[in-house]
Amino acid sequence: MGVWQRTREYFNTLATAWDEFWFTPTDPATLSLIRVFTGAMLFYTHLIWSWDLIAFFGPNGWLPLEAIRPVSDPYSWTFFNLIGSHWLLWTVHLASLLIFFCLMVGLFSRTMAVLAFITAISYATRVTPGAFWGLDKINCMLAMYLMLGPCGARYSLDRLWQLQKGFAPEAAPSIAANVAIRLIQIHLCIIYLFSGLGKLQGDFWWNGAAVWYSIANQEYQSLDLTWLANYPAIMDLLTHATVFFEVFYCCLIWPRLTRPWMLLGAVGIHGFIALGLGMMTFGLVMLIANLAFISPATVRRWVDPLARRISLAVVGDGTGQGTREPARA
Amino acid sequence: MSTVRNLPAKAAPPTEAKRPARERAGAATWSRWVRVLVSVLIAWHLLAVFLGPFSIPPTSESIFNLAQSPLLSWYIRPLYLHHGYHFFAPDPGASSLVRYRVTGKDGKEITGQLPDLERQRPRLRYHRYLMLAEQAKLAIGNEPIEQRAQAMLRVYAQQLLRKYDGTEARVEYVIHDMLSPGEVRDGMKLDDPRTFRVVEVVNQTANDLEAPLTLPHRTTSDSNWQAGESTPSGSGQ
Repeated sequence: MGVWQRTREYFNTLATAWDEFWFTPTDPATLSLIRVFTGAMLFYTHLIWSWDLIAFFGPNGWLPLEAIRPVSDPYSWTFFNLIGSHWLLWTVHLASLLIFFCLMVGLFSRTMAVLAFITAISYATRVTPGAFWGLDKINCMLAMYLMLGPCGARYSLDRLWQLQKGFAPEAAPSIAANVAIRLIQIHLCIIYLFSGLGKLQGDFWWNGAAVWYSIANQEYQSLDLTWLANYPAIMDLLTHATVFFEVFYCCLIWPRLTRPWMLLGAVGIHGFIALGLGMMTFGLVMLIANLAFISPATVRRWVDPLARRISLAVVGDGTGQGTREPARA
Repeated sequence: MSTVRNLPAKAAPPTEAKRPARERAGAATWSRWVRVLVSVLIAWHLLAVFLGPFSIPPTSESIFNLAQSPLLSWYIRPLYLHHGYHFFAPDPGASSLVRYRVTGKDGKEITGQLPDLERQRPRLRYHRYLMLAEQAKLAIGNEPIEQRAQAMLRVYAQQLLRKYDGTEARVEYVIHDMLSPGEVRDGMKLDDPRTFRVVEVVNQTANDLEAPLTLPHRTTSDSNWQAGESTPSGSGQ
């Protein structure tokens, strides 16, 4: 076989693999579950702003625009630039909460996903720099990909509404759902990779001290783990394991044999961040992103029984208008 | 082609096994041209997703300039992709506090600090105030960190004067150093007074409230605030 033929065969195989990776339809169950949790997280994240809405988002406050933003950055945009009065600020805030709530329950899901993305970006950009943190980055990332696929195809009021009207075909496998899930997966790999590479720039992540200096930070600490000072080997192990996990996540999350271990590692690391370092929301949102690696079949095995109960309670057994299929949300 | 992912086995009769996955799924398929177009968009998007963190200093000048160029900035920045994801990196470091004392019109003094776990609940709200303190020293472009911290402390002082209707505010920027495992084993507490260092102080009066902020001039080219992202111990987190 000549070089030309082999090269052509290689690129044909590559094209087929690319095609299958991105354009194989998938059940929208995973994307739908991510929508429920992301909507809930967005709602909670922005509900908390209600305590300090004027102080953080008003024209004068902790973060006046003239102080925090480059004077001529034409690329970052937030609708808060256009809002001057307090009543308008509150109106927009309440509307935003409604959008996030609708996304969570799956009412006009696709439209709400687009609005939620624009809204989440606007909030995050307004407090960047100043009061942003990792939670905002992951919130915006998930909202961005939800709007690409049929995120309301399952576990949504949209679905219940369809059942109620008697229009109840099974949610079809979708290429758009696959593209959205694939983008979350790859984006998550890039996040972990650069998080791990960033750590390798420092001494503490090499010499095993980093976990200690994370848990010994009183401003972050939500669980007193300073007793670990007596067990340096444990801290060394946790530090090295964290770096290993983050650097190699992008490789080891794909093979079926190693995927469960990486997901278990994610639960461990983000559980530790959530419970020990006072960042419950960040820990949870990272786990939500990791759901992208749970297969739709598994999601349905876990979630469908509950969804079926809800749909039975709301629309009964079937739609009552001709369909013989049991109602499935 | 491989089998369709995540579909019940009963959905695909044996005779269908040889058909392309997209067709077996029973879903609407995309034409070749749509797939080519979407592939190009995906490749572009992933380039932006990758260059966002890759361009965070320290990085090569070429990558930094590429990510900052209008060619990519128009896409990366509005989509909030310009982040390093340097969570607790390169090293977890000391955290920052902002302590204040405001004198009210009646002469009474109000003291407090940002963040304050007692006053700012729930935890996410506390964390926003923690970021307020941490990111006061988040330099923009080539701006010196001290200059930035001074400017942000003046902003905070103005907000405190407005909030408490005060006549005078003193704001301190405090670094809370961390203890080594050995110091903790020796019995020192994390909140030992010796671990707190005041590094910047700003005094502001109500007369200055309407004065414009004297911030250093910035332009688009030096507006790379993310350069300092990894400076605070947890702002990236």
